[in-house]
Amino acid sequence: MVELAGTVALAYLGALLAGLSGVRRPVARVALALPLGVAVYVVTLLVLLVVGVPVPPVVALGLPIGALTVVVARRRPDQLGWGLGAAAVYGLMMVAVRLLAFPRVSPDSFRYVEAGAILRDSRSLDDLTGPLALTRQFTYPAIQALAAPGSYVRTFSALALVSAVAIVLVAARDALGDAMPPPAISLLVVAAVLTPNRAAYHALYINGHTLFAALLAIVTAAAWIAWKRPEAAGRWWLAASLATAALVPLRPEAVLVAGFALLPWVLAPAVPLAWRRAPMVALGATTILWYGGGPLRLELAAGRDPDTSVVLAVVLGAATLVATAIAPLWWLPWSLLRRVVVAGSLAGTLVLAVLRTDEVLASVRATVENLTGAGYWGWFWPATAVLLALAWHRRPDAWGILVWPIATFPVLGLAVAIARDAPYRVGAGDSFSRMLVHLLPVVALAFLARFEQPVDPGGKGPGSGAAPQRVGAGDAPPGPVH
Amino acid sequence: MHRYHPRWLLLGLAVVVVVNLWQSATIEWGTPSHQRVLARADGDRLLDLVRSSSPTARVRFAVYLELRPFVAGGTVVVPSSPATLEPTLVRGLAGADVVTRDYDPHLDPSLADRLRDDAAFTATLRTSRGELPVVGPDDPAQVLVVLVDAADDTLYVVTPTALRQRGADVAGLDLDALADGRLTDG
Repeated sequence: MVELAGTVALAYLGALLAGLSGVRRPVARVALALPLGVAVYVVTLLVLLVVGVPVPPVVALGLPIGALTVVVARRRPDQLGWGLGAAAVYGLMMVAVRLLAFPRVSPDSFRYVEAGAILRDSRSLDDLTGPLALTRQFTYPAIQALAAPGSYVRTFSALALVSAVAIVLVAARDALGDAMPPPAISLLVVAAVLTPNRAAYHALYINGHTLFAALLAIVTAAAWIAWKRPEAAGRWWLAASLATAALVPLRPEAVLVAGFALLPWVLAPAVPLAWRRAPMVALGATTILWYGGGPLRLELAAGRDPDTSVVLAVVLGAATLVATAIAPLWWLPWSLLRRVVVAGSLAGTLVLAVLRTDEVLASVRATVENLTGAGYWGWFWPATAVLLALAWHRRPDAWGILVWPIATFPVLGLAVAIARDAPYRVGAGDSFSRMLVHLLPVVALAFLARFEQPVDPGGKGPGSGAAPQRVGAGDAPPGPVH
Repeated sequence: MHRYHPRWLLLGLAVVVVVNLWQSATIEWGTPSHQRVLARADGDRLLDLVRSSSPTARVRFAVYLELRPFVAGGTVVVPSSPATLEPTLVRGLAGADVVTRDYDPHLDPSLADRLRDDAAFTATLRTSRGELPVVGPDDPAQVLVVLVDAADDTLYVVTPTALRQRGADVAGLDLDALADGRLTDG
């Protein structure tokens, strides 16, 4: 019952927020409800704990629910029903998953549950010390903290995965409009990314990977829409900002992954500057809040030297906020910056390969084995890489935005392996093998976008009356993006 | 008007779906009875363990994850991190007064030799409930086999991969299946 109450509360909160941000379609509200609700709850709890207010997690969830309910009731009382509707949908799904499926656990699962129990019982960050804070982070323990004492949240991963798939479909509809592929093709694409063994496993696995996938899907979708159909970006800037805020304290590599995924959004010239800045503020502020107010503060208070990665994260967060304020940076052409980032990443990888050859080779070998069977992915990733490479030819405009997070993922993964001083290993439990789940919705979006249907010249919608222009993966659009 | 409807991509995705389903089906998930038992046991034990934050509880949990409880003929398997083993716990699980010995396939060549040469090793766990077959894991990297030396009741914790690499012939165990994470039904 407690897990049910937490689930519907999160969905209700997120659905209200989606409505306030301009999302009107029912499917879109439901799709975004859970991740947005999680984001607001996590940020609220983090802020309160960092400033030293010892709140139970349920209060941190109740505060924004109460506040938003009052606001919505005054402005748009008809919207309250949507919140209840989304809550009902997720509630029913939660009950179904709980009755029909069985959780998968690992030592990491226990540590997340333990961290959640610490947050719930101690109402403080102070006991979330050392490896527990750095490896388990904050977002997923905060979700586990909503469980009853002595219990744990079992169904969240499945709900997050359903949300991720729904976000993909909603985003495709927003970006492509009438050019959206027919339902049969959408179903095929969704099936392609949900049928690998690991997708089914992670839907039941007590871990935060599917939530990461849903949040990354929101950020990537927003970036794509910013180039593909910028007039729709107004419905996505808040979601992208909140998703970024929830991503940062979800996993150690999230700051880098979110930063990379946001780059196309922040440099989209057709999107108003304020909307483009918002996720950057979320990225920088949350990074400083969590790493500075959490692990860094705790290590300094204990008289220990903080981990280098923690200090770097705080510096990166501050640099992000500074960059947000420097106006000229916002007019950098995406085509130039993309090439600089790619070149820099390749150069960095080369340097790492020279300095830490054994670790790099070990990681690469292990990853190759995992991607060809040992990681329980079957041949999904090699097949996907081939299809995406072939799809590059005659790609639709702005398609490269969707490939960007996929293409940069291996480099980021390698950087993570080097940073943590532990190469990747062979087996389904390996970190990088598990992290690949994060890309499933983005892959689905890329394939869906590749099936963009030509629009009837006499109809409405994007590209109506003209051949779609090839903007290219990184070029600024010649005019308003149709 | 450009057409963005590549049939080759449709076909490619359809093949991906078929191969995904086929490859997933070849990975043993366990029989339904095993799954329900695992889930119930996981849930029950997890609840017990999270109530305690002591190091012992964490060790017990680490051990438990690999335990497939004494139901439906499941065998107890113990994690390969000897440093986390709690002798008292292992003794209790085995139902006999056994001695644990640290085993590391990279550092213990004498034991590796014994595995090859000593025919006294069996693939059963001697407990008061008799011989128990092996139940497979969620994560094949964590599957381990508990071997009891019938001669002196010494408990050895080894990976099936290590056994296979050393050419050990362990009666009653399909090492290839275990190393690949596939269940061996009892």
